[in-house]
Amino acid sequence: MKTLRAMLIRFVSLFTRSQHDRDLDAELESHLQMHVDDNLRAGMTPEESRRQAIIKLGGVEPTKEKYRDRRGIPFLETLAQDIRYGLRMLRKSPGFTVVAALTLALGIGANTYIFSMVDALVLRPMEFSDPGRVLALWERVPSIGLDRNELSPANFIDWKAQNHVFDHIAAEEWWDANLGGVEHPEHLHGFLVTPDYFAALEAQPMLGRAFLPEEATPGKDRVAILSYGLWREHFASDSSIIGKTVLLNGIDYTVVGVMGRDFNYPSGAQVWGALAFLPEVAANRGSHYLHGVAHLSAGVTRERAQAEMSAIASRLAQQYPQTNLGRDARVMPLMESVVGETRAPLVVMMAAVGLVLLIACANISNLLLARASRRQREIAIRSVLGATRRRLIRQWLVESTLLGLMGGVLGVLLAFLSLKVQVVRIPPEFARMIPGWDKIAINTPVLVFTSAISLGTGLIFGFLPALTASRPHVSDTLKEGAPSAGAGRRRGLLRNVLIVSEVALSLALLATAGLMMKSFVRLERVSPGFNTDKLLKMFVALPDAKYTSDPQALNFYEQLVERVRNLPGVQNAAVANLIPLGGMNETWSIRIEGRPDPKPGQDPDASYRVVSDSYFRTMQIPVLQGREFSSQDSAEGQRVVAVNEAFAARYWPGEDALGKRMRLNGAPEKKPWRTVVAIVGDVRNQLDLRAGPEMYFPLRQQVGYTAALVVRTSSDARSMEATVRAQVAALDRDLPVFDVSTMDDLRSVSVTAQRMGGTLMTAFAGFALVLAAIGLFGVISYAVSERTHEIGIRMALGADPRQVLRLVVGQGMTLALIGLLLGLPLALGMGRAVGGLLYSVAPNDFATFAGVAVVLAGVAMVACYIPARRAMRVDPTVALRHE
Amino acid sequence: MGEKKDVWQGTLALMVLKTLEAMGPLHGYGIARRIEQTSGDLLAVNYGTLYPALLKLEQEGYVSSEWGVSDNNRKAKYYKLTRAGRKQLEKEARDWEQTTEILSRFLSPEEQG
Repeated sequence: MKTLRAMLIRFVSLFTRSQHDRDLDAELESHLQMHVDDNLRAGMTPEESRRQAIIKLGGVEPTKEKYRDRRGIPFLETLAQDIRYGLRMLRKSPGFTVVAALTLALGIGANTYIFSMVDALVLRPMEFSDPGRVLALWERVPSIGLDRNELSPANFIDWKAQNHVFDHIAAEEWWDANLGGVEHPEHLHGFLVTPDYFAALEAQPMLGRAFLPEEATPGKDRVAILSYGLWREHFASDSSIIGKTVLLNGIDYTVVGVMGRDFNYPSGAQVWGALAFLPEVAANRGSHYLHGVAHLSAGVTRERAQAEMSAIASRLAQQYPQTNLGRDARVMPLMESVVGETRAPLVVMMAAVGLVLLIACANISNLLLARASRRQREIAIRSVLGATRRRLIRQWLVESTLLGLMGGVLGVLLAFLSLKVQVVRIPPEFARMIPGWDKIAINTPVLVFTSAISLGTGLIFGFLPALTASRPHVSDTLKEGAPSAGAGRRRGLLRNVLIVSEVALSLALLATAGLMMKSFVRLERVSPGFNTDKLLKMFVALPDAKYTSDPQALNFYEQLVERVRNLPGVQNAAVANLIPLGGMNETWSIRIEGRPDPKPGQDPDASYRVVSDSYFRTMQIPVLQGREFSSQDSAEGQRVVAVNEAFAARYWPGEDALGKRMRLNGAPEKKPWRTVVAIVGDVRNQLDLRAGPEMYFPLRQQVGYTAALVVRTSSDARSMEATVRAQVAALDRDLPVFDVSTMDDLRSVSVTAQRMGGTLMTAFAGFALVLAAIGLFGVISYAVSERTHEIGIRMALGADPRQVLRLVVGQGMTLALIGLLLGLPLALGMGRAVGGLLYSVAPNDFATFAGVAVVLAGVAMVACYIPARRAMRVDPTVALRHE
Repeated sequence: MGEKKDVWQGTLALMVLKTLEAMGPLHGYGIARRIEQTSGDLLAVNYGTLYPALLKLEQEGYVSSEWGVSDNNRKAKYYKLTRAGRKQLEKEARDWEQTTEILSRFLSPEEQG
């Protein structure tokens, strides 16, 4: 306590110095006066009296000095001095300060920017009190490498009933909800969830309540919970909304709750309904479409939960081998499940910006070393006047830390601007599907991170210069002009080491950028198997309540296609259950005629497409054999199917697939055999994945209630949106249209991650290249200026200027080549690290590595050539006189 | 050197407190003279070291100071013991006695046998 109190007083006295100084002066003066009085009384002369008093005191100034040390906090006081001094030194060389601060600002800014994304998307996409206890539940089938499979309703119900490890367990499924009763009908991203859902996610509604257990029974499930965004936009933040009804899919639902602004799960959800399993659904063990979430009971570890769930799964596998053989359960933190794909590219980015910052540090270290040489006299004088080595080192570190902080402030500003102008732009309708995207910001954790790296970089790049600079060679330095060979050589070596590491790190970054860019360009050039140009797509979801029978729905689709196709500016139109590149797929289990029943767990399957007659023509998917669908493929006609090349190759290898028969897996009377009438070209559902087997059923024989309308236009597809929408409204005024975009846009969005990775990485690598070039230029320029004397002598002795050029360029290129050699393993390592993100480019792609090495060597050559030319022009007489 | 100084400073602080207790409010010069007289020539006080020690005691709250006028009409800063200082003096004196007692027993020749 006493020490604390004393510390506080000492701290305060840092700011009240002059008054205390006067006080001390007066006190010491009074002390001396009294002592002099005594001495006079003892018979000394006045001069002697004063002299003796001062001797006895131990000197006035030393006393004051000791007193001051006790009064304030010497460390802080001298630190303040160091800071003032450092700022003065930085102000004195504005060129250096500006270059260093800007370099750091770019480096730290890039780190801040990427970290803001890592923080929002990877570290904290959702906030839980303990993220380890909120889990995602999956089924898995190890034998076929299926790691995450959705749950089937019957399995979920058994899991829920039999486990003792979760206090909450819930399931969720996709729900198309058309919001009606408003001026513009809108399609909502909805989810049906079981009652425990919000509790499992540690969430509570902001208004109202969560679902009740009894609302999970058919008939009592007409209740809904709204998202904050929906409540605000469509219901004007009506705080009395609880208990009112909303019209969803033509049915009245009672609003029982509104979620808070921060709750966004599953990403983009606008409304949640109660999930009530009908008896036949509850018995379904073979259809996997539910996402499971669970919350660990207190005191239960995840390992124990995994063990128990696996035990339950293996019991179910024994009980129901037909559907469950080989099926295990998987328990993982929900966060991990959500973060999934965004993690790898962001980790690579973070590593890349880290390297960029290291290069920036090496560069500034080099600049500081050069400064240290120029400031040798200043340092020598300071040490002669009594500055200790520690004090000198601290002075240098304070200066570099100041630079680091300046860079940090500017860097935060840069990162903030980059976020503001959206350097990485994603259309909002896609962005809201990325968990955490809306939370990317320069917030407290980001600022803490940035402060830490700003301080850290200051110390890192200041460390070497501080050590060398503070090693004073007083006698040498103070003798005007005498070169201190030892220190010079050591510094030269240090600078060379730094420049070699810069080149090595740059090579690694350039190679990574090259690989990612090449991969992106290849991906852009991939043909998806259809023509994306001038193609508009939009979705409609026909509500069951209104479209009660298949012919009714079919009638709607046929009229819609007919109306749209007849619009001026439209070449063709079609509907399909799903469209490629849309990020969705549906795979169904099938049977091939004449094959034995497959072993459990080895079901053949294929992507499921239902399309109208004109689909292949509209999409411009080539029909390779057979015929397109036509009016003869009616509900009453022969059951037919079209398959893609991959399907034919997998299930009828070496045979003619045309005329063969297949059917969906299930009761044969419900899933009749279908004859293959066409083989069509492969279509990629995802640009970076080769097409798997696909089967197309004619719409008339397999009516669905959610459909995509695709429209081939003769001019800009986007401009037709309103006209096409009007046709939908003309048929059904209450039917919302959603997910409208051109296929070109969709294609471009589908490679956002690769584009973002490629361009950002290229920007970072370019920055690194510039830094390395500047660094090399600086080192060679400095070497030339130090060797002016030597070069002068060489020239005087008759050396050819070209020889001098070779000498200087040779010195620089040796460094660059060593850097390249050392950088190669690093670059290969980075390549391997990003290997998983590359499309059709090997992580050690020779052309890329050779290319970036040549670029780097070329830039290094230019960086050496400029100072070398100056060396060539050295005038021997001037150089010799100068020394 | 550092350690020696710490011991010296601790002792000096105790002497200052004791002096103030015995003499009442006193200025720095007076304290210095008094310590010198009491300790004989054992401690050749460098008067200057007294002031940081006084400052430390003041920062710790054991003494307080104010400006006053000396017997022969000189302006001087007077230090006086606070209540906390009195307690501290008792405690330190006790500690000191204990230490010296232990040390003397330790060093007394009879017990060395």
